[in-house]
Amino acid sequence: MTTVGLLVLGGGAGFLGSVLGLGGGIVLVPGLTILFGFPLRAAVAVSLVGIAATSAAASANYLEAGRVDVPLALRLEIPAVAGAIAAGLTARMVPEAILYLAFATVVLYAAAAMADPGPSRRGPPAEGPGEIRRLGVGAAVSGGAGVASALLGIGGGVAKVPIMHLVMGVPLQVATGTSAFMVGMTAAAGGWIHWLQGELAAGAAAPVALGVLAGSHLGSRTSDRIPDRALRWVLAAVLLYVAARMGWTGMRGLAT
Amino acid sequence: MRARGWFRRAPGDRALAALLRGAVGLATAALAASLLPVPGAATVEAAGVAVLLSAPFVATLSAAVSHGRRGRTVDAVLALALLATLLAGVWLGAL
Repeated sequence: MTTVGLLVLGGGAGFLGSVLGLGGGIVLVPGLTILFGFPLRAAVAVSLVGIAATSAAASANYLEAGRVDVPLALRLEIPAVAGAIAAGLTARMVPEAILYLAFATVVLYAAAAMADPGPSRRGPPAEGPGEIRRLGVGAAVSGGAGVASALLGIGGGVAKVPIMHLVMGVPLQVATGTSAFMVGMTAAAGGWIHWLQGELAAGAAAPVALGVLAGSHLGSRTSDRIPDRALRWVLAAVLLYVAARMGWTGMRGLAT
Repeated sequence: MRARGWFRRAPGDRALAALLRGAVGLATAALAASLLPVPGAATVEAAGVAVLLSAPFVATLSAAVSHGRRGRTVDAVLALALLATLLAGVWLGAL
């Protein structure tokens, strides 16, 4: 029964990720902790495997479409992977209550982004080729996204895409494709460390990763027929609940 | 840095895409097999996870080779530096 539940959760995360451009970790980590009672660190480890799966599948499509700037990804991924390694190795020193509060903050941001996609998603795509600006800022943000990825089990695309597009001047489609390629590397760096430190629950990674792959495939096939706006608002409401629940858990943990 | 032409596939991209597709196919088969009630399912699941988490390493090596062949030394060195960083993470995690 749990296996079926994990498959469904992974499928939902993959589907929403594909239709709404939302990273799977934002759905997977709260789902695993709230619905299945996973400890936060175990949920983070499983989520990173799911992100690596989605990234590999999506990147192949984006590479075929010429939407991945591999040289740019290489430049931004070195600090991201270094950040993920540092965070993965020190994650046990961070109190779980702090992690819950940090995750609640990220989920709150994601809820706001769902409710209002912002001008970058609504506007017409920029055209290239062009000069990449502010590589240093992009590298710094990628490093921070790497830390967040290994600590919280998220891909970090929520930070990477806006920085690449709005600050570095990368066209949105290329930023999305490059970010999808990059998050797999960041997730792999954190995922290996969590796995080697015994935090990956046996029997959970397979159904979640399979569900994510199936869900993202289904989402990419049906995204044109999904009422995007309604789905965004429903998910924003769910994420608000998740943020409140995880924030409350974190506050309780700090108080005790 | 100046980006290569956006929305155009670079020479190594197709090989990289095929490599990632192969990794996903292999991992999917292993993970699906691990759900069957057979002895050794945990080992098969571990193999599937290892393939998924290793795919970026192979992709980075592939990028290093393709950039090196085209004489893009800086990009090839960066790819190797990224690969070294990834491997260092695994080594540190295993300590």
